[in-house]
Amino acid sequence: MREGAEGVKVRPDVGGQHTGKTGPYGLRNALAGSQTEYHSHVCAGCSCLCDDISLYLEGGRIVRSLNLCRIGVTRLLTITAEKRLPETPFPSLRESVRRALDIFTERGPVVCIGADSLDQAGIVASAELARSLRGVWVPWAFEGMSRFFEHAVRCGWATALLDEIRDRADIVVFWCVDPLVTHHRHLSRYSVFARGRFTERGAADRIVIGVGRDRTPIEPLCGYFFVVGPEKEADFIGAVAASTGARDTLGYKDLPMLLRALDRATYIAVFVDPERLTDAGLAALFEWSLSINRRGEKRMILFPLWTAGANAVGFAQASVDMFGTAWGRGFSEDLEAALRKRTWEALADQVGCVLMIESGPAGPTRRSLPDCLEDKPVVVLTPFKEPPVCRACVVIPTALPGVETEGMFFRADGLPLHAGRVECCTGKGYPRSEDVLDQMLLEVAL
Amino acid sequence: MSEARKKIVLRNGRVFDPVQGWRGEVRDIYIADGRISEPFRDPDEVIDTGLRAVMAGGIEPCCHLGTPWASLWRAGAGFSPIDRIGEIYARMGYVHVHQPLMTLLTAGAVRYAMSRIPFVDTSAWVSLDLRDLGTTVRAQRKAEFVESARALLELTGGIGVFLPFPHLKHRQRHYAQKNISAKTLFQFISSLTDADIVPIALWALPGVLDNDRDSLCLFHLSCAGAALGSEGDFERACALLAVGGSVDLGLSTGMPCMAVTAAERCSPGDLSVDMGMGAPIRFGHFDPSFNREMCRNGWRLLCLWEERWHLSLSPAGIGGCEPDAFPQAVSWLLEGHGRPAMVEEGLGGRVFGLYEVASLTRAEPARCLGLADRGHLEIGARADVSVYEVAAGMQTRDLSRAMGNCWCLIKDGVVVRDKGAFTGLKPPRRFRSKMVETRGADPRQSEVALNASLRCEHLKYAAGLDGATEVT
Repeated sequence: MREGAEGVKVRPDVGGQHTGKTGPYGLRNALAGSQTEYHSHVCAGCSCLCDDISLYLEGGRIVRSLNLCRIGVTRLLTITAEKRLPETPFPSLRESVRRALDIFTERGPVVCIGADSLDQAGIVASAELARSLRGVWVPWAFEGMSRFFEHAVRCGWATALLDEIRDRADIVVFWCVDPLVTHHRHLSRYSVFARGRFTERGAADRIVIGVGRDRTPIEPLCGYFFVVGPEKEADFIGAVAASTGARDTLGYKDLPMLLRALDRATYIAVFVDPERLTDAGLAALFEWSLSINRRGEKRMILFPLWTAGANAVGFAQASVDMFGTAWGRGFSEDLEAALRKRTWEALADQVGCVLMIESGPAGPTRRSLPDCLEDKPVVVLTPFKEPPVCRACVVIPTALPGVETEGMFFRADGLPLHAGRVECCTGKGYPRSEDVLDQMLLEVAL
Repeated sequence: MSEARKKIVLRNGRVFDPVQGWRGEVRDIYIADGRISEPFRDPDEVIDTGLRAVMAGGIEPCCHLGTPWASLWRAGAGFSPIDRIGEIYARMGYVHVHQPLMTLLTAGAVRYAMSRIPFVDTSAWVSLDLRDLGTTVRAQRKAEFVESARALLELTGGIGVFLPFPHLKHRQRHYAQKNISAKTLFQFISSLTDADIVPIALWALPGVLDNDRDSLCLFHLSCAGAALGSEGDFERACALLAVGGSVDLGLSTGMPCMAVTAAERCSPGDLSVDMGMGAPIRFGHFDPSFNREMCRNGWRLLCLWEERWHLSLSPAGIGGCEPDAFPQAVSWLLEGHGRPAMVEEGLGGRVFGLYEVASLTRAEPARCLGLADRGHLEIGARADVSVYEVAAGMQTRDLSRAMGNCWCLIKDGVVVRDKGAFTGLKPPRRFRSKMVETRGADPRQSEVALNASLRCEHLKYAAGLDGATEVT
């Protein structure tokens, strides 16, 4: 049990799921008559968007939680942490906004990074601001996202709802991604341990395969684990896809077993972090998926797991709806041209300052600015406790979306969920991110 | 006074309303409180239509705009974004767009996507997952099946129920005992009488017309253009319509288009998504040059059209995705000269009038979706009126322009377009749902909801996030 500054006790549960009468409803009934208040919560800590979080409140404080993983706990503890930045007004919000706008005006154009950490309203507000400033608007995973969706459009893309993966996948591959680090409950809810319609025995009905640049914590859970360097990536995928004897040249002794497992499989789910794959590797993965799905005998789906803001899919949705691309937009010809080069370096050459929205509290989901942008003046919007991970000219503390304010988030498979605010966490004086962004937009208009 | 409550008179219109048998007689239409009204003497606004053609607002019976990830594919393939699509529908004089595919899990995503289409009301059918309901079918437990379908309707806000496939076939051999044949399913569904559930809509994928005609009459066949691949399919479709079957159909203009289908096999460039339908939903390209007979058969079906047929036309075309080319297709219906060879071969010289067009695009779509207050201009109906600048002797090019840019559009009593331009007024938009009674049973405890990875309170889409929901 861990304790926050104001006595918030939150017990992390990794992998637990409610079943039957001992679940939250039963417990809620048992608590009837006591002062404990039950609150069903959607955790917006990562793109798993676990909707089975139970919080128990007493006297306006959270006294117990069920099903919250360590990432969710860390996020929740942010709101009561000692080191949390003081809320506005000090300096006043308006003054901070003006200082930020001065920077954007004097040092522009601005790159707005990280709206994928916000709820849908915040994402839209940030896009509108970037448009009015004639800047550029990108998610944290901009490089990977642009490469992934460009390949998806070019080669075609087979994907699935997480429920279908849970129900049907008899082979689960984690390619350069480790949910044990970034999406803790992914394993129990959707991929490895979850029981589905045709995977009634959960993990016993699946073979888990890991591929990484290096050893990662998920390795012990994997039937086969392959360390594949970037130089070998495309060859490795090509050899697996072709089921060839290239195993000898590649030097993996488990490769024949992997090929046999893939041959027997009916449904292969490949979770991948596109940011960590080379372009050639990503292209080879799409080609492999297409070659399997073309035959129609078995199915292989590719599922990106972004190590970035929890609402990366919401960002992609909003970006597609507003601008026709999933990875943001440059609002001038030069910026759009730089965006098409799909690298932070190309963007850094064209922008003069940064509006950064922090991606998460301390931990694996917290992203730092790319090195090439570090010398630019930075304005930071952050709901998190510690000072931002970069040297910032202006820091505007905001309310934590999905805890202190309600909003809509998209699960990794594109399903929208409404994350309500927790009653005892009303955000005190912290403004909502979209209000800050709207305020900036208003000032720009004036 | 709010725009929706204004009293409006549309004077001197040539009114086409198949429900009332109006074939272009000159009439005045009275609108008050967002409904078609009895005549009154104190209008707030008078619109003189100058003998232009007046119809009820158009209804799209089958457009896959809300399917999850569809917008990504649309953008990648260079098709119109969803907000532009709303504008296209409004220009064509349409007021309602219906999405055929929605599952329990994707209801939120569908409703979110549909809420982004400007100007029009929306609705969706919720699909029955035979993997959940198979036991009730095999055991002939009708009451349980109906309760589950009701629960689905209540949880998702669907306007009706939809079957993607008339059978259940598991890939795994060891689940073969759970398979359900089309014959068993048809037999079971023919015994259902619950008015909330039947008629069930059935996706007219290739091969569906091979099933027994009397059984198919129990369903509404959705997106039937793609099922007319052969002469035999065409004849079966004609026979089905002749005995009272209900069908909606998208037409091909001969241009490549985007198409939604359900298929295990993918081609390069396709987006395919497993949504729990039995087969992946596939967004791909449709090339008419490889499907010439299929394209022609849609037009041939229209050549034989009779007023008693329950046939609706979908502007979204044969692929179910793009309404852009529909005005052109209507112009070919209305004018015999200037038709492409494929269309002329299909229609065989038949020329349609606006009365027939009103039936195909208003009255019939409203009937098949169960929208009793839409698709006609009877007193008490919603004040959805479109006015077109169409006159006798117009060339197809002018007709296409007129049908794609209505002179006036009133939706729910709000004048959205006037004198051929948008007025800037935004009409109310709703997601139409069906009122169902679950007869005391809690839909959250229904078997259909037990397998979902989301808690029931999150399966039920949060009202208000997608605008108003209206129960029909």
